[in-house]
Amino acid sequence: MIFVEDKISGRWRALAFIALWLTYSFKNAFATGMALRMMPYITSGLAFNVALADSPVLIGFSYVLSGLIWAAISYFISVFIFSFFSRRLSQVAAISRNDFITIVCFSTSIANLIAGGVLWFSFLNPLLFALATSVLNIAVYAAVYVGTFLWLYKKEHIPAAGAPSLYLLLSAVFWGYHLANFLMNTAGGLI
Amino acid sequence: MKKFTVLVVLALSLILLLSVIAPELGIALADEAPQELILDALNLDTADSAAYAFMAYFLEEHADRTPGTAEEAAAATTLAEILTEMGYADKASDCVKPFKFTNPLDGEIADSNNVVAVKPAASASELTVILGAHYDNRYALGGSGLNAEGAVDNGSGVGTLLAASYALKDVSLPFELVIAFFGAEQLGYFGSRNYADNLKNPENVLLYVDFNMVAGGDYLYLYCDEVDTLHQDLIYKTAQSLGAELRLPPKNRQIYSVASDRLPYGHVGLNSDVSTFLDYGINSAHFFSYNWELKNSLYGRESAERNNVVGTSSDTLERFNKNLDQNKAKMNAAVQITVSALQKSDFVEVMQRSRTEKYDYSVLTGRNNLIIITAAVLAAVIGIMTAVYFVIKKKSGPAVAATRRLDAPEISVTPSFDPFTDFSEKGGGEPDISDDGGSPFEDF
Repeated sequence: MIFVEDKISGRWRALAFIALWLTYSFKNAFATGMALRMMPYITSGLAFNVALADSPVLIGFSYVLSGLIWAAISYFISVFIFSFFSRRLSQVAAISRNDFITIVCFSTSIANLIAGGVLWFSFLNPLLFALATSVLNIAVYAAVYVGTFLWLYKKEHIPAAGAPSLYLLLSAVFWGYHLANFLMNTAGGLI
Repeated sequence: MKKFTVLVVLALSLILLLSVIAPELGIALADEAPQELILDALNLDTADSAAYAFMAYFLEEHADRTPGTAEEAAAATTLAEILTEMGYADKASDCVKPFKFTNPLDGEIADSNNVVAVKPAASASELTVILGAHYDNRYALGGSGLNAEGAVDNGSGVGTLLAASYALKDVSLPFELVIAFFGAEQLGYFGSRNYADNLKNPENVLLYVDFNMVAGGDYLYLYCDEVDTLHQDLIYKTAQSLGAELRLPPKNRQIYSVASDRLPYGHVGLNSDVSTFLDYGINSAHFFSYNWELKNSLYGRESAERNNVVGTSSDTLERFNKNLDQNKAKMNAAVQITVSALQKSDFVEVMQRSRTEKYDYSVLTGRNNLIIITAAVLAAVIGIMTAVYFVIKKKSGPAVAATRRLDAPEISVTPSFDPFTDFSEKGGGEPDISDDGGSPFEDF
């Protein structure tokens, strides 16, 4: 039995996970804010909704909760997909499951920062809102994932032989994340 | 005897004649008490705010204006009578335009009315300006309702529109002036949608002005469109010339995710019948009071000092009167700005230019365009990711052994591995390589 050694320390992995959580909170500060703003129009319980919308504690709590939930979802998607391919991948990619998750967490954190910035900018320019919450979001995440991978590849942090497989895996995480996002939004919309 | 008979016949004839022509001449017969006109009772010439006088009268007469009820219909009749007294119509019944709508609360078909009066143009013209406000409220909406007159929403708009109509009744204008009070707004803009759906030539409408919640908030705002427009500029400059305090929407205005037909989001400026006319591409202006500057509130509020009253049981005339001077000032300003803007010498030209030169942002917001853009971006993302994959695969060259524990057995590695095709493969000659079985959470 073999296993691939971790090249990135557990400390970095923990840091990546915390970064993922914080940046999701940052991004969701805008996304959740929009959802909260929408609430008074969904129900007629105005007194409750106004109280909710005016409560910084509740808003802050929703940001943290939202960030935590999404960080966990992203992490589990990574673990699930990695586990699915792990047997063969560990053969060729020369990268451990833990290192892979660290890379995913860090690249997603960068994407969250940019996506959060785009959302913030859409507040200043409402016309961008439609694009910011849909296609720009996907483009930002794709660009960051691909960019992160290419940077690692160029810096030879990823061995050449395993690069294509690892890249496919990262792509699967990317599309898995967006599929989960889409399904959750659709379910939320239906509810 | 003959003389007497002739006199009696003459007297009878005179009485008969008087009974016929007296009503025409406005002479009250002995058995009919003279009916006091609403306009006379309001003493508008001495009132410091005609808008408030109209509003107070209307709210006191019709506290309950729940959409689809007899009370709402009675309120419509009163508005029609007032417009008739102003001279906008010969008969009040001519102004009342009934329509049906499906009540979203119970799915039942309900009746409501728009009140529409038209003042013809000074000379023949197909051009039109519409001044509008909704007159219904949430008094008994959904059973319990708010039990409030709806002073801010939208007694203030009704009063302002009546005052503007009063000020314009004798003004000669080069376009047709339509005064429209819409019913069933609270349940989904049904009145304005019914009216706009039946417009014969929307392109002839120079401007729609909406008065909704004109007083009650901290500031009076003018919202015209998502981008700056020529008609916004004309109205805003009119306000400046009058010294009236009028604000434009902040650039970082708060938005929410409720889509209209035209936009994939909403905000308070669109939260009115104005959105109906914007959907038709009509130049629109929405006067409303609010506080769009508040930073610490996600939903936003009417006032930094006071609690929200719109949509609550506090939206009463009594509450409205607590800030009466400020509220009157806002309603008066909206009237003055509107009346003055409509009489600008370049009004018609600016409105026509504004319509033709308006920035078309449908490419960003049109449903079909958004689908096309989304599909294009998705295709581009997939294409780029696929291209990167093949470039990497081509450049990756011969395989190298995976990093492994030193005591692990030597393994051979497939030079070019594709997990999608090789995943299920159990190579007979290959060593049994399995995952370490450990949890990735272990190190946390």
